[in-house]
Amino acid sequence: MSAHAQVEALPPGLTGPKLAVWWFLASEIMVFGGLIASYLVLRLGGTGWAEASQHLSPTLAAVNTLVLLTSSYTIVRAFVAAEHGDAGGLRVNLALTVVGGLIFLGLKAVEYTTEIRAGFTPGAGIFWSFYYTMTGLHALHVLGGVVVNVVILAATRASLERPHRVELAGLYWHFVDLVWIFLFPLLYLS
Amino acid sequence: MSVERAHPNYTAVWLWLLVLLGVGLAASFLPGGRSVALVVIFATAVVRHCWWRSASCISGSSRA
Repeated sequence: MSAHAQVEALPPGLTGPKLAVWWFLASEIMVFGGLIASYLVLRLGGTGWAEASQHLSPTLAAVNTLVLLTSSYTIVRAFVAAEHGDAGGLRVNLALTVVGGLIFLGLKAVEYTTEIRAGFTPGAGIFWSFYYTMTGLHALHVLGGVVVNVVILAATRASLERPHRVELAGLYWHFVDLVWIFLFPLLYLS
Repeated sequence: MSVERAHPNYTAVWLWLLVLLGVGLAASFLPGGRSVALVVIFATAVVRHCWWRSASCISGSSRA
């Protein structure tokens, strides 16, 4: 049996590749969970955090939240298109997802530039240390997701034959989105 | 073998998420509304999580 045939014979449910992605995401949850828990513990026991967060831009962050939510929508549309053998739909929706990720990164760069120019560097205080660590790590994950989506986009034919590739990329992208939905209120609105 | 999955209505879920985000943001600008905003936005995360699970999890999808 060829390797190709082995992949296609995978049973429905929690297949090996999906289990691997979940395993990876579990380790990611521990990383972000540890950071968020540390942030909460220190913030609840400290002062001056709310004042520091006033210097952030909730408007830009809200736009970024909207962009990420929408890009999660487009990636599930891409998965549905891949399942139905719709090459055009797969390409368009994956491209929109990539664009969403790039817009997110662009707006984050604008935010960072503004804050650093105002003197709020990672060394400006504990809030800023957490802010740059958590959002920077998250931005790296977004960048990684963009790269994965571009690779899948470049191999549309293979993705149509094996739609679980799109599904796995979507799984990761949903995780990245979910982390941001926690970071947004914790950093910008509290 | 081809196993088709019944997909949820992704457009409706996306619209619900946008509504929750809008309500959360609106609440955050009201006096004393930040707590409400936090609750609403975490509700967004919960809905998001349910979507995530229904979109691509153990429910099973395979195409051969």
